[in-house]
Amino acid sequence: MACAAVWVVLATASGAALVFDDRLRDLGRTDLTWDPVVIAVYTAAIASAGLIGTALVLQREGHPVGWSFLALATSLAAMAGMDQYAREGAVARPGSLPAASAVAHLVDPLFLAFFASVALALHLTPTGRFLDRAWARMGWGTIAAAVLGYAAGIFSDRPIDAPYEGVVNPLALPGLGNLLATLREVGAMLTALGLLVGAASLFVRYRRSEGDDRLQLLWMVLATAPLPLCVLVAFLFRDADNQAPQLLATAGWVVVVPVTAALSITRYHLFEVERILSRTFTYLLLTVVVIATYSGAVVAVGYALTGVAGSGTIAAVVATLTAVSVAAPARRWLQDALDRRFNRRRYDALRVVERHLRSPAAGSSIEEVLAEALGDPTLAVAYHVEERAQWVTSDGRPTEPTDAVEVHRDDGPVARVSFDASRAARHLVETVTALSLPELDNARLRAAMALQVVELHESRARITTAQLAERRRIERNLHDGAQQRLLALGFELQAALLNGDPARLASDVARAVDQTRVVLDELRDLANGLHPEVLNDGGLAAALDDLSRRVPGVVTSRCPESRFDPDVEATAWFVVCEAVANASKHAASTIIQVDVAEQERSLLVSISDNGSGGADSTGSGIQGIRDRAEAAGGWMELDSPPGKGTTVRVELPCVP
Amino acid sequence: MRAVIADDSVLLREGLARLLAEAGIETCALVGDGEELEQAVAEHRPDVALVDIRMPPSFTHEGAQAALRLREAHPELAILLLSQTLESRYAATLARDHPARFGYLLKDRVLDVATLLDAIERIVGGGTVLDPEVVSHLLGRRGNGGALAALTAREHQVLELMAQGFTNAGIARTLYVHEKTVDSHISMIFSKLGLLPEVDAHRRVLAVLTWLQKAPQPGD
Repeated sequence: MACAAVWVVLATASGAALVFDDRLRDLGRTDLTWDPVVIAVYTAAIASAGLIGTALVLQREGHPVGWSFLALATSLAAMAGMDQYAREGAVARPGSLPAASAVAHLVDPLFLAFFASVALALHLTPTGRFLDRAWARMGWGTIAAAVLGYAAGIFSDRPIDAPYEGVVNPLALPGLGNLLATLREVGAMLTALGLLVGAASLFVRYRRSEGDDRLQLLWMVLATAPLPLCVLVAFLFRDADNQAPQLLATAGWVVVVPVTAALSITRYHLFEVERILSRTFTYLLLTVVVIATYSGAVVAVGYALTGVAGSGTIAAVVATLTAVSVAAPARRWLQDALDRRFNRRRYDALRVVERHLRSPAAGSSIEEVLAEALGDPTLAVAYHVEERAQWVTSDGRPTEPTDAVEVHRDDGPVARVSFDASRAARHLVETVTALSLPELDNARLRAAMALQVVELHESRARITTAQLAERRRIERNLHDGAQQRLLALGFELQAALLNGDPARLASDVARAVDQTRVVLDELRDLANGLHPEVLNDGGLAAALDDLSRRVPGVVTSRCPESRFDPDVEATAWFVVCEAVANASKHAASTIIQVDVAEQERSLLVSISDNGSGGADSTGSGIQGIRDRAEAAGGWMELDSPPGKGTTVRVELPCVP
Repeated sequence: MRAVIADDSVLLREGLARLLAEAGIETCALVGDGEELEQAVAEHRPDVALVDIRMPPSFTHEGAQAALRLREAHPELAILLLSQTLESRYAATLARDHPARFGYLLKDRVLDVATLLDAIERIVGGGTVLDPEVVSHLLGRRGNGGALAALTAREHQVLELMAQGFTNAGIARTLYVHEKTVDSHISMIFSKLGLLPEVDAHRRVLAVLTWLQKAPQPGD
């Protein structure tokens, strides 16, 4: 509703301005009409403030900055409409329109409303609240000063600005002339000052903000930067006949401010804004520097070579060389200077990384450097190990990076940098990591090596654990088997001795001999499981024959008679025993086929069964085979489709 | 005399029963774990229980724990713990806390029938038996310095036998000396180790074992 009312006023006032402007032209008083440029700028300013104010009020549930802009638009429109009305009614055809003199005096100090509403918008962008209570007092003080100045102005009997020099104020309060004039001046000064305070508030808010918030305020800060100049121009040309500079300085600026405020409030995505802005400024300034250098050189050389033939050509050459040699360092310097001024964090972060890249400090990793540069101690880098298709930390531990900035090279991902979004802005992380790409790529190679070391440690630990378990099994076997049997045997013999009956003694000794044989068999089985004698004597082929004799089910084997390195034979034997044990224990196999084939530089061992398949490749049996094979410099391959039997293939490097 | 044997190895307990039978000791029950042992003792009221320290289900100190419960329920029962491995500190603690009618022998020792029968006889008679290995291990732990160094070779022997639970008469018999001589050795040992003389055999075992289990002090 309120919005609609504002738009009615806007439309009426703007319409009135155009109508009266047209009538003044018809009257031949072109000295009183507005310049077309001024009209265009004014219209743009009213449209910008009105439309953005409305959008903010409607979309952001009565955002105070929206109302500030609506007030701004209204004051601008009213200023235009009332001014044109008064020009006809009080100057062109005095007395032709009612209350034209009063309107002239009402419009004269109306610029204070425009100042005050802009000040308020600067104070309240983007949150809708003042920065703190001190700033709030200054903001409300500005409004109060504007109201005071305006009130004093409309009741003052002093002559007002052109073209109303001769118009007498019907509202004037006689006798208070001096006081009201002073109050008007003071009110105007304070309001102008308040406008500058609003700009200061915005700048402080910008300095205090971080990350994306800061970026989104940048537009508005840049748009506000020329404000002091505008205020100065407005005051300088206050009494001038031609009001165009004043209008352009103020209204032209007013077009930009609502747009930038809207960008800040709606948090429009501005990822590239900072880059584009800083580049644009850099190149603008660079152009100035290069031109200045060139001109300076031409003048200097021309001066030094006065009277020398061809001095013009020499000057041009020298100037060109000077300008070219200045351009590159000047660009870097300007870019740095701008970054330092407008994006301190980006500047600092890049400095930290560049320092490291130039001369890497011993003992500090790129991860630590990035954490320091971005001020985020939680920052973590994960490196991509292509061969394993896995992400690992710098010390080779597997990791799962989520929600991170990814750095690429042509042939794939290099690293992912995870960071705390509340400490470091994403765009900054992207910039800094892109700069660190070569160092990240180096760190990736180191991480890949670290991963191998970690895997080596793990497999060694598994082998040790497996060996300990095996040892315990043997101890248990010895303890529960042979040892108990021998003790029992001892008891039996002692009992027989104690009894003393010869007949009894004979049968007891016979029994003891049987017992001894059982203990012997048990011990032999135990030793065979470790490193059978037959493997030493007859090699793999003989050991495999012996194995098929001792394992339930049908075990067939094919193996060359030749001998190999004892370590290779032992590893192959271990592999066969484990695989055969797995096959008969877990897979309920009835037929097991063991094949050993000699190749040029390796031994190929394969164990296939007709069991249930579906073997767990991470189970301790299979893992043990893989570890042993890899420890011997070979590899293992498992093929175990459910229901289709299992094949374990191992290749061990060896020289026959 | 009547005995109960508890050991999870069937072979072993059968052999042991056979040996005891030949020595004139009747075995009234052969059991495989602690629970069965307690039932058998309650049912048969034997004079002695031969218990394997390591039994199911945990294969740690099941036998010893069952023995401690038996000690509570049947103070008159003699208990001989048999162990495959030497756990001298654990055995000494058990013997110190429950010296009466208690024995601890390594299984290997049992092959020597005379030692076994002597041990059974001593604990059934109310005494304590600790395997010589346990005692020499405890002595070894104390090292050869300090107070032990002050003992003569004979006093050393007497100390070992005392710790194994022998009475004065038993020590005299083992060393082929007069009981009076043993008495004077013992009072010398006690004064050298700084212990108060104890007449009661159980309290004497306790004092000696406590001294042996104590961490070696400089000047001991």
